[in-house]
Amino acid sequence: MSQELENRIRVFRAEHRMSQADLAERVGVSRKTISTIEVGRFIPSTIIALRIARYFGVPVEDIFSLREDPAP
Amino acid sequence: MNKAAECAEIVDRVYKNIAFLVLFMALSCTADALRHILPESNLQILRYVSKGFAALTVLTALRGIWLMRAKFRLGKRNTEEHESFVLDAFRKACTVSWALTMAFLALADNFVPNISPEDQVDFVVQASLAFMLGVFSIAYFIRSRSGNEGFDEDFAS
Repeated sequence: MSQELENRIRVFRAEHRMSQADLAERVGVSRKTISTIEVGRFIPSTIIALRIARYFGVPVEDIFSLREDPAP
Repeated sequence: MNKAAECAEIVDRVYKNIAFLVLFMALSCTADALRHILPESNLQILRYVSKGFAALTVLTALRGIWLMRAKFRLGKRNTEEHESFVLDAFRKACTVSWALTMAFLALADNFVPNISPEDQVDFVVQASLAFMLGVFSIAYFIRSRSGNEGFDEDFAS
């Protein structure tokens, strides 16, 4: 079973009308960190994931989830 | 920009600066190692090349000190426990460099040139350093390259 981390950061950013730089500033990370998390190049630490979720005021599972390939 | 975000940007620049410093050191060591195997007519040029990259290393180190000063000016609380994509790339480059250098050292016996024993030791040390530092910087720059990050749409506008 292969799993991949999916995220909905871009959706939440659009809802809150904010840029990657804005979110990076609120979460306390660099813009590159946010942009690479968003496209799946970087798996964030638990602390960063929780900070993003706390900023948007939702449970972390609403932003990050595991995509599972369907069983053959 | 708040202090934590500003600090995160500075930390990213510090790691990038270290990667450049390591690259210049690798090039300087490569020039030093080549002095043992190339004809004597090239010695003078290689000496200048080595010194040139050594000077770039010092300048990059000075820039690193300036960046660190800016980082610590933001306060201790904001300089702790940083996780970032750049730090992740840095750690992975360290791992790749260490593993490949071990393989390089295991095989080093097979390609040591036929020179005097004292020169052989110097050559192996310089070549190993050049290999380790070069692999690290290349792995870092490949891992941290831009291009697959999308763009920063400003949904506010």
